[in-house]
Amino acid sequence: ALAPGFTAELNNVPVTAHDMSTLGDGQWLNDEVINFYMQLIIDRSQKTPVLPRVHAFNTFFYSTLSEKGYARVRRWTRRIKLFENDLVVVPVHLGVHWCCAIIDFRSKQITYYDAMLGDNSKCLHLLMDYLKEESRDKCNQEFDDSGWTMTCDKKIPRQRNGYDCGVFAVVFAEYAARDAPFRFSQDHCVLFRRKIAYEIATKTLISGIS
Amino acid sequence: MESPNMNNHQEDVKAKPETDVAHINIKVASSDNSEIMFKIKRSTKLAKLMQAYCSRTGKSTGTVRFLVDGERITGESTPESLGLEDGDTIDAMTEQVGGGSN
Repeated sequence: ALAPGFTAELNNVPVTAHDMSTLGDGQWLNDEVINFYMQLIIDRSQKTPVLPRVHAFNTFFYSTLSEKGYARVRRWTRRIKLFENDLVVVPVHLGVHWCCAIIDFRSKQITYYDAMLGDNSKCLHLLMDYLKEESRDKCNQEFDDSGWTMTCDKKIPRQRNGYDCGVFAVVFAEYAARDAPFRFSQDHCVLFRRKIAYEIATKTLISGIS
Repeated sequence: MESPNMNNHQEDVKAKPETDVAHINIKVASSDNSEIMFKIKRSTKLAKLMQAYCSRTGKSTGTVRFLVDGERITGESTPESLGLEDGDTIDAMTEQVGGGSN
């Protein structure tokens, strides 16, 4: 158990003991835990040249893009070069549900991972439109979408309760960020919760090269 | 107390009486599209603005995340340190939680 005053911080993204408590068994993960984890994924990618170059957006990116449009996220990438990455991770928050989308520039795929196997073609199209706008804005050229595929992947580990979707979303992102196949199941989620808490507390992801 | 800053000569800091250069207007926009304007000194820690925003909207400070251009800001930063200009926007995002499908 963590001390009540526990806090950790990475690139200004903080977690508190309250945030960490959302990693307890049966609890719903909150944005802070997921956003801290996204920083860990970026951090590992930057420190490990053999791994894919990964950018991960925070959980507010998708909600802002979908509710307020491109103009309100236009400046979110001003410090990075989005198109120079291999992968872009987009955590997706839908009311009370966490999912995860991955843009893969190498295989020209946008894939949506919902551990409850839901469809979300709206998300896929929003992200494709985002790439087009971003290319116009940052690269001053039209994004070539030929050869790109967009999929809601259903052949993935499936959530079998009403509380682990955030764990799945985070683990999908972590595995994808090192090109690891999704060889896990619902049974691993209790362990994953402890692993995620440990990784946040130590500010280091356990898995390196797969 | 102001920390010493090489680019910040004492003479330049004094505001002219007719043009108020020490203060700027900052818009705080919430995820539900409501906006509140705050007038704040460029050198004032944003913790003050964050607290004022939360008490004005009745939100608990632990449930609001403040972002500029998608990046989290801390209460220790100031408009000056972030390079905020008059009329710029700070996003006030609400805590998100999730467990399963709707």
